[in-house]
Amino acid sequence: MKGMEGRLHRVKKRLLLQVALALLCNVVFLAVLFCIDGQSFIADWIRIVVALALIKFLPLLIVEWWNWIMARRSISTMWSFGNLSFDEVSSELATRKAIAVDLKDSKSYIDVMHGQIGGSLVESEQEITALIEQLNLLSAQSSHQMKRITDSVQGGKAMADVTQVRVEKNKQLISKLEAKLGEQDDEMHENYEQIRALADDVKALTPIIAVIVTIAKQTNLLALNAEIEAARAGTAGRGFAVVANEVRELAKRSTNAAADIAGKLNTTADKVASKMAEVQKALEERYRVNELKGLVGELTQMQQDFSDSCKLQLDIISDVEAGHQESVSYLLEAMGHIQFQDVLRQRMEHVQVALVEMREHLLQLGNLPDRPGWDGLFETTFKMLLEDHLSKYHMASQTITHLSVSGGNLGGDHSRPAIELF
Amino acid sequence: MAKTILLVDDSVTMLMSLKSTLSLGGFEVETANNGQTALDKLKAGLKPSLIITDVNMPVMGGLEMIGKVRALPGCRFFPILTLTTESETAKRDEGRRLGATGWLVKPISGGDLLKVIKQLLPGA
Repeated sequence: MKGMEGRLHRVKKRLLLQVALALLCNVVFLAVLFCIDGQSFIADWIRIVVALALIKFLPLLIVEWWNWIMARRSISTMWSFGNLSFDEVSSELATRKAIAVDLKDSKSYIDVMHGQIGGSLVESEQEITALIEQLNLLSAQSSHQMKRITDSVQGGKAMADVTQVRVEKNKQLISKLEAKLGEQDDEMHENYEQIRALADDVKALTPIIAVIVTIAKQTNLLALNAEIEAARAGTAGRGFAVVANEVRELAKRSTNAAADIAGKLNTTADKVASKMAEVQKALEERYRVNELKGLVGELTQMQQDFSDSCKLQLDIISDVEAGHQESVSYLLEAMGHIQFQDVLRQRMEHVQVALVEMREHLLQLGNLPDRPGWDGLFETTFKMLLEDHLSKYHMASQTITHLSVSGGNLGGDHSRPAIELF
Repeated sequence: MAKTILLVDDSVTMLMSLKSTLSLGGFEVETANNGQTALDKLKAGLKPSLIITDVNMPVMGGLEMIGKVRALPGCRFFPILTLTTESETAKRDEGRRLGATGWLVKPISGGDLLKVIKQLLPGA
């Protein structure tokens, strides 16, 4: 209170000093006029004084009176803080000034936050771009592998088909061979029997040769006896000696012929035996026919195995293809989720716009106390700015978030589907 | 022969992800980052089977572009889809009035997008 009175007293003193100074100036002015033209001054001094009062002194009084009123009002306003001292009011005013300065400083703060959002949007866009490129590479790799597997299996299948045809041909060939061998086998059996019969016939001849040799030997002995008797008979026995000699010769030739026949028979028998051995060996190789049968069976089994293998490969490629299609559908879903980055970008850009509005509004708030004649009313408020945003949203999610935080009913038509064909 | 789709969007990531999706579906893709660029490509002779466009873009927005495309000779009847975050009913109705064939809201899964396209382009 003391501070207020002192303040008021000082203001009063100042105003009175100003009035006194003005009065003194007017007196000096009158004195100068009197000195310049005393006669005229004395004649018209009332009019001069009245004119001076009306033109200079009276307006001055009015202004000073007005200043006095304003000063009292200001001090009364300060008095309206209650029982505050001047220092306390001064402190209050200093605080207000500090707040105004801080509000103006919020510009830098908001600009930095605005930049942070912008920077994060740029980084997220870069990372999403890189992610999409990696997904594209993955997709291309999968497609390439799929194509390689498909080409490989198709090649394998073609080879299997060719092998199948060859196997069939080989089976037919082997069947014919088998039949032919069968025929040959029968023929060989027949030959073997014939040769064996021949060998038996040759064998049967051997005792006959022995008989012939025996007969020839006996004939030779008989002829020798006849020669001896012929020699005893002398001249009468000469003819008989000749016959005996001839018989001896005949016996000798018979013996030689028999020996020759025996030799030839032995040779023939050896050859027959050898041939029989060969045929026997060939017959023993008849197991080749069974082996061929086994070979046909193995070929058939191989054919079946090949067919099973092809079927397995086709099943594998079918599974791989299904897996590939599944991968493609996952990839398509992922690409859909990546679109969310664009949704995020738009929401963040809207927040950036809101930050700029906030910055401008805070700057205005900071400047208001300095504005002369401010009536204490705000042209724009945060409430108004917030309500204005409701009309600026593009996405239903923005409106929903706004209303869920600030309160309010979600009006309007939000039942339209996300996919609508007209 | 693969059909061509023209994508119009100011977002780089949207263009890339949609291009990948459509390539997986077997389509050729051309892109433009705003309505004016798309219009220029059409006037230069590009003949897409379908256009997919965003709505809110700089220079020229999607709705304005649709109106101008429909006025070009030979461009009255091929399908134009909007793919946008825009949820306002008035904008959707305006799009329909200007000649859009359908309205799709982001984000949309790749599978759903391809289904819609194959519905509009039989034989694709």
